[in-house]
Amino acid sequence: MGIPAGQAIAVSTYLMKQKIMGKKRYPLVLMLEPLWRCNLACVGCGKIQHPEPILNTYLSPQECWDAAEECGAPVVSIAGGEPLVHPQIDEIVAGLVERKKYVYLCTNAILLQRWLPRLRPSKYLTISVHMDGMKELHDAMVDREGTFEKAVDGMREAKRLGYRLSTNTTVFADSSPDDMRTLFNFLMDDIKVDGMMVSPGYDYPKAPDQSVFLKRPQMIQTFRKILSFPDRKRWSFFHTPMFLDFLQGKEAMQCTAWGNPTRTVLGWQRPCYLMNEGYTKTFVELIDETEWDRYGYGRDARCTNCMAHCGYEATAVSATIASPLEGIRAGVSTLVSRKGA
Amino acid sequence: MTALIVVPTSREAVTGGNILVCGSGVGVRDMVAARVAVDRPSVVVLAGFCGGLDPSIAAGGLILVRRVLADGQEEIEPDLALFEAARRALRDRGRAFVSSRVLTVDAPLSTRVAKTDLWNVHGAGGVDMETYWVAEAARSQGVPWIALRAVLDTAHESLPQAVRDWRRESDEGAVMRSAARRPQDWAAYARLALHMRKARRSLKLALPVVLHALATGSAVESLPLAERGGGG
Repeated sequence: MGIPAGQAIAVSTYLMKQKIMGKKRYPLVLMLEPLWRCNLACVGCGKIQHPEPILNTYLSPQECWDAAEECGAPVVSIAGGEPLVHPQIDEIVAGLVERKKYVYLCTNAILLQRWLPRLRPSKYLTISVHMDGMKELHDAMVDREGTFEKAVDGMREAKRLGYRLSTNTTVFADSSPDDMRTLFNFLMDDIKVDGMMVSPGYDYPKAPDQSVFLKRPQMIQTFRKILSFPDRKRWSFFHTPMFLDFLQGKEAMQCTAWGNPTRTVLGWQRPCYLMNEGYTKTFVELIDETEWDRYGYGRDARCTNCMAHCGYEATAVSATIASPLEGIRAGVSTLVSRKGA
Repeated sequence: MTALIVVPTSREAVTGGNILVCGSGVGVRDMVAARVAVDRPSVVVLAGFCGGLDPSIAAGGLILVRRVLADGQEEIEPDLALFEAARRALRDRGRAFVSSRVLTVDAPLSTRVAKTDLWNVHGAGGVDMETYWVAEAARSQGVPWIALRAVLDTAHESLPQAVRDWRRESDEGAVMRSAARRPQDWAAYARLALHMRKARRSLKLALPVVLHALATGSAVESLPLAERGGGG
């Protein structure tokens, strides 16, 4: 199965409404980081290098719900840090689902089995497990032995209990196309995930190992190879066809940094999920007072090697909605992946 | 301050005291170099059109050039103080623009696919045939420069066949005849003509703002761009 029809309709309706209202900048996915504390220290992560007092700060459930209401995006991606380290993550998720937000709970799945009985399967909730490769590669990227096995056990249990399940794979310099092919086949055929997300790693200056990141031309070559395998037809991605074309260098796109606004324990992060130039107190302040045209590929050096879905999927979604042909293509892609699953 | 403005035609020019005007086109490097040597302006301001590579920039969209590059050449940056003065002035006057790199090439870039490829490689917001050479002519004589480009054909558009075949200004008659023989391209010409109006309007609105900012450039403050890193 691909993106649920309900979610596709809700997102399309929301986008149409924004267009009709003449809004120039509007959010698509709220990136909610209720904490930065993590139980892993992945080699390519630039999110967890904060002082202890900040790592010990958690957003309350009410703050999370307020952020969702303030922002208004139909989709909420709960990231971090590791969300399952948050002691009230079940409450946070329940409150967002109650507000009819499509929630993606992003996790490394180390604690997933502990939390599954306290969460509730819903069409609004997708468990999104971080999977960077098969055992050897994944454990190396997250810098801990045994994490792959734990994640796999957690995913099997999540499926058994009826949760919607997706994975999120970051492609690094060490991720060979063949590794990715094996992983995606395993996730689709063995784990039977509902969909997968994939994105090139962003070269965080704070990440412990800078050698893991690909430069943009290498990313394009890698994705061309990955997405040209015949197995591709069986892989169901939670992405628009346009975004996948973009990853292969077939589609020119500029980043929509405001498409995925980020609420952190310090406030609304400016300008985007990956870059940090400070925080605003309110979402309106973030949207109205950020000089958006200064950011993006070709405009800011830090964006040179960024092709991440948190910046470009919003561009792809907007372009898909604006073009009837692309809309049909996305619809067909969803139906085909549903049929194949 | 004396500014030498380099523009495609007199329609884009701004007149006034301390403003010198130079045309652009084939041989622009030599023309500008000669004018700079004779007139010794304080600044060279290049204002003209370009093809869009950044897909988010619509026809008529304005690019304040942050860096210019050309195949096999070292990248050139405008004077950062002038760039920042222009950027702030445009922003404060509510002019829509992006500050981005521009790529200078030898021949018109014709197809959408070619534009996408160049965008992926260079991350330049626009592509033209002269910015690099004007910048180089000014820089080689120690004169600061700044450039504004308005997008004529967007990243999603291919140019009509006759324009793709165009090589030199003296070919204009041939271009016209070729265009007349291809009715299937007439709509594209009409679209380009509309875009030209938008682009010219963008330049006409922005150029005086930039010139005014440069004239009062002593008020320029710190250079945040240097702190943010200039590459990209």
